[in-house]
Amino acid sequence: MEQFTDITFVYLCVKYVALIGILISSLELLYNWKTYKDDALFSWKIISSTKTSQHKGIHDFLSFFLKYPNFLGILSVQVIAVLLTFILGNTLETLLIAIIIITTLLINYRSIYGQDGSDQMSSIILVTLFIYSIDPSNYMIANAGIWFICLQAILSYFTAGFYKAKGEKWTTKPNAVFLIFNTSTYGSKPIASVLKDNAPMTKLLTWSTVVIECTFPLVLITGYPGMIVFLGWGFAFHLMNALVMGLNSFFWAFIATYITIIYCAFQIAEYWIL
Amino acid sequence: MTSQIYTFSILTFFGVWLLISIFCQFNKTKISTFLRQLDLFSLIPFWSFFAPNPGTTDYHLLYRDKVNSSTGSYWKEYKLSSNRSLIGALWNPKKRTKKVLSDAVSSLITLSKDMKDNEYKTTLPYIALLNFIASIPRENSATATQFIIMESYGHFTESKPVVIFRSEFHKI
Repeated sequence: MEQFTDITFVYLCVKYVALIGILISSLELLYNWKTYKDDALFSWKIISSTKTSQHKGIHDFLSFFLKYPNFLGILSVQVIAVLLTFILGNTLETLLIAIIIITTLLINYRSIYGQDGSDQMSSIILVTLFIYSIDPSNYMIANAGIWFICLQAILSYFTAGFYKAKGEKWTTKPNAVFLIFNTSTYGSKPIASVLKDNAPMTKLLTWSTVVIECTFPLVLITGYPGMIVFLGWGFAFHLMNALVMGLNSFFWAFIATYITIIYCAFQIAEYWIL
Repeated sequence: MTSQIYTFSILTFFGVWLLISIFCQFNKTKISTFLRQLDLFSLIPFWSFFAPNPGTTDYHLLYRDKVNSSTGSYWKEYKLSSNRSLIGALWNPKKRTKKVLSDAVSSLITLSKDMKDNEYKTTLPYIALLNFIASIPRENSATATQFIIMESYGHFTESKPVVIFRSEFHKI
């Protein structure tokens, strides 16, 4: 675990884990290339019709890159830039990450629907990696960058827990986990059939999700091995989301943030452990 | 001195981004709405996964065609959910299309509740769904198409699916 106190090692791990997720996402987007045609689901002509009244100058400039087939070029550039970052290591790192950020922002701009938390977390990680790569020897910036990713991750779990605690299906009638698994969209019939006849287990899983998410900020002060409770739960949660719900990109984006959480927890542990 | 200014600027940048992120999670104010309107590239996150009300129903997208002036054909479903596999945990390109369709369907349902008749026809989700339905390859020479959205209540339920939205026929 001592390696997680080494800032260079932490950035290296975050970079590679996050880039695996970004590579998979961009290849998935490229695989759906037909859907970007003008008569298909992701038609830029239709999407842009909702944007033209706002920020017209920016919109007209970006339209050139986002219309079909030019957008396929943007996706291809992102795939190539990610692959080169893997192959070349630190060589041209700043330039390549800048290209990945620009292509990611273009993808975000084009995607009115279909974006999720993993896309936002990936953007946060990429911008931090870019800033770090400009001057890795600047300890204050490197340290602040890791804390920035860590606090965004903690904010994500706490916010999710906070809103769940306000939801009837999560607290007063705690059967949200069964109800989610009972759907075809994000669920699983075999798991739903087990939970259907097991109310205590449904209650436990539903409440434990709310409790762990609300108390997730404590991961920073529970020290090692206390942090394993939170990170182990999170790892299992995202693995299950990938396996059962098909939310594969969440896994990579959020596991990348765990490396920063471990670093920050160790840094706090130097002063105080609960 | 330049290095110190650069360091201070970056630290401020991280701090401001984090503060805006925190502010926009818990406060729906004029300021947070304004900030989100400025956020063209989705850099301000919103982290309320499955909360406070998780999706507990499934939407179904069905369509039928007209050939010339005939009455509509039988309804066909375009599945918004897909079968899961272990490979899907690593490689799941279909989720993008399904997510966009699900988001568009949810958005159309919400908009249609708040809008008068016909107003929703110029909204993005309506046009996007119609464009998608029209683009599905067909065996016949359809001249018009119509879609409906149905809602069902999970694998284990006694409630029957209900139609919650019906479009008009549109020429294709």
